[in-house]
This record gives sequence, structure tokens and C-alpha cells, in this order.
Amino acid sequence: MTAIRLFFHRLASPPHFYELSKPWGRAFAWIALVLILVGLYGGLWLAPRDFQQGNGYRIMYVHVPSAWMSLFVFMVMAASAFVGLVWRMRLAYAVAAASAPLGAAFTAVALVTGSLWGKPMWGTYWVWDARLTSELILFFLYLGFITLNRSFEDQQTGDRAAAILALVGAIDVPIVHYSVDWWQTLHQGSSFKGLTSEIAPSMLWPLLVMMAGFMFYYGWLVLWRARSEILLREADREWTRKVVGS
Amino acid sequence: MNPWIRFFRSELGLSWRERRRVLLPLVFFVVVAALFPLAMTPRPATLRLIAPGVIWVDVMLATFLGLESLFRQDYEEGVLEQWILSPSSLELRVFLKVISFWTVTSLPLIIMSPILVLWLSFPVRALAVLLVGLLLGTVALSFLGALGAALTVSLRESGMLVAILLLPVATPILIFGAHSALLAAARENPRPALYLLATLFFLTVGLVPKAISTALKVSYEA
Repeated sequence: MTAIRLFFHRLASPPHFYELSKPWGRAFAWIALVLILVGLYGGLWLAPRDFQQGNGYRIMYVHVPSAWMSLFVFMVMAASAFVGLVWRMRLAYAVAAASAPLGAAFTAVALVTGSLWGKPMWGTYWVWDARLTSELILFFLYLGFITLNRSFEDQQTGDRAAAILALVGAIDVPIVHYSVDWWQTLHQGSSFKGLTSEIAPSMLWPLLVMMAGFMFYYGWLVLWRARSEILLREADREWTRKVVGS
Repeated sequence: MNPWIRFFRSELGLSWRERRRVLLPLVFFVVVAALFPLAMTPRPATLRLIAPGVIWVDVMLATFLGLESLFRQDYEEGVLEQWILSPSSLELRVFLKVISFWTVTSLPLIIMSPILVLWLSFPVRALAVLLVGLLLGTVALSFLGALGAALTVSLRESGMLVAILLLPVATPILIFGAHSALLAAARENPRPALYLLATLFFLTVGLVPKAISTALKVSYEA
């Protein structure tokens, strides 16, 4: 127990994190590369054609992991915002700030791949489908967080204000999802339910590998970005000068 | 007199004295609603369909833009600092301030909305549902708008920013609010939508004052 607490305590110290994050980030990057290559090979070559959607379904190997990551990153962001507000941990704010653009990018990829898939399947690029709409609102929430975080001269004020917004957003995301679902059943737009509920194992395993790959990819990027966010926040400290070498 | 009642009345008086802040959202609300028929073929059947959406989006924008500077003056004059230092509840103070501001700015919008209903050929029989929805919705939107104002209190220009921050957060209120009116106009049961809107109302009124007071403290802690 004490060993775990000590580990977290040390991890929370910016210089220690800066040191640790380099080998960890590198390891994550290699794992992500291998997993994504294996997943792509499995998804694009090994997996059979779908009897209904032909080859078009294969975009899900990018789409589903991105959509999953868009929510996962928001959760990470809100959790670190909470840690930052409660325990005043600078590292947590750095992680939240590093996560936001990544989450926004995953959301954008999910939206774009979703509409590209929609063109052959629905016959149009955009449908006010419940899930697409929720993703769009999630994307706007990310934009709000990024804008607010960067709006203040004092980065600490920006961090805290954006953290409050992230917590409000985290409570709001399920409500948005529910309200959009409700709105969708009222209008009965398209009844196309997307992918068939049962995915054959030969199509499923590359998807799971891709999802794991995306997680490590995010892990790598968030560590990488958090390093520069930390330097930005600790610019006046002794250790920062030593690290940067001036 | 109870000090809280006195606080509420003084806040009411302060916002009323700044008549510009009361009138601007009202004029904005009416003018924007008049633009929609001009931008399309004003067939009554089409207008009737878009009326709840137009009125609700309009109310949202008027509320958020009107609330943008809610705490600005208190911040610049140091009143806010006294509130934070004071041992009495900051949440209650924030709550009363938002309610007083709502009384002066949003209530006139609701009173004005029957005119918009006529302009947009919205069936008068659905008016009651629209008004109840607006009553619940504007209070919730005011609290969200106040949160935006609190988050950006130390920034000079924040109108657009507040809108970007809060419009996505407020979409559920828009969905249930506008659809309660749409359902009533289509002679369907609007109650589920109104009940869901009421749920959001209680959720917002219960939780957001806490977030607002935390946000106000942030601007002083740095």
C-alpha cells in the first residue's frame, strides 16, 4: 500500500514525471505501432467481406476505435480536471490540457469516417442520426474546453476554469446522449441501426486489436504533449532550466 | 428585514437601474425572430413548424449574450472579493443574483413571446405549453449563462466565448423545450418532454450554483 502511494506521490512531481514519461512514451509508441499494424492487416486483408456492406464496413476499424477514444479521452480529461481541482495537482492540469486536442481529433476522425461510411450506406454524407449528433456535440464541448483553457494570460486560471467546464461537461455528456436518443425516436429519421449486432470473430479480433492500439497511441501522445505542457507551467523552476539546458 | 431578502431586492434594483442591460436582450430577441420569416417564404405552414425552434434558439442566444457580463462589474469593483471573503454562503448569493437577473431580463422575454407566436403562426392552443417550457428553460439557461459569465469574469471580451462554451452544454434543454411546444402544436402529449425539462431544471438549479461559486473563486486564487 505504501509502495503504491509512494509511486503516485512521486509520479505527481513534475520533474519525476518528466523523467519517467520519456521511456514510457517510447514504449507506448512501439506497442501502438505494432498493434495498429497488426489490426490493420487483420481488418483490411484477413477479415472477410461483409455480405451486406461489402468492403465498406472496413472503415469501422478506424471509426469505432476513434469513437470509443473520443469518449474515453473525455473521461480522462474530466478525471484529471477533478484531481486538479481537489488536490491542486499541476500535473493533472497538464494531462487535461494535453488530452483535449487529442480527444477533439479522435472525435473529428469519428465524425469524418462516420460520414464517409454514411455516403454508400445511407446515400448521404450527413444524417441527423443519434450517435453522429452526440459526437458532434461532444466535439463542440472539446472546442469549448480548448478555447477556455487558452483564453487567459495566467495559465493557472485557464486550467482551473477549463477544469470546471470539463466537470460540467462530464455530467452533461450522458444527458446529451439521452436527450438526442429521445429526439431521434421522436422523428424516426433513419431506422438503419448501423453494424449488425453480432460481429463474426474473424471481423471482431482486428477491431479489438485496433482499439488497444488506439489506446496506446493516445497514451504515447498524451505523455508527449503533457511533457511540454509541464515545461510551460514550470518554466520558472530550477529543474526546468536544467532540463532545457539554458 | 432578512438580509437575504434585502440582498435580493438590492440586486433587483441594481439590474433594473441599468436599463440598457434589460432592454438589449429583449430587443435582440424580437428582432432576431422577425428575421426568420424574411429569410424564407413565409408560408404559415412552414412558419408553424419552425416556430418553437426559432423561439427557443433565440431565447438561448439572448440569455447567454445578456448574461455575459453578469459578474463583470462586481469583479472590477471588488464586490466579488468581499462576497468570497464573507462567511455567508456564496452559493446562496449567486443563486439570488441569478434569480434577480432572470426576473429583470428573461421574464420580459417570456411576456413578449406571445407576439412572436402570432408572427410565426404558431397555434395559440399550444401557447400554454410553450410558456411553461420557457419558464422552466430560461431559469436553467440563466444558471448556465451565469456559469459562463463566472468562468470568463476576468476576460474583457467574452460574449462569443460564453456562447461557444455553453451552447453544447445546453442542447438537452433546447431539445426538450422546443419539442414540448412542437408536440403540443401537433396535438400530441407534451408532458414527457415537459417533465424531462423540469428534471433538467432541478438538476441545473441544484448543481450549477456550486460550480458558479467555484468558478468565481478561481479568478481570485491565481
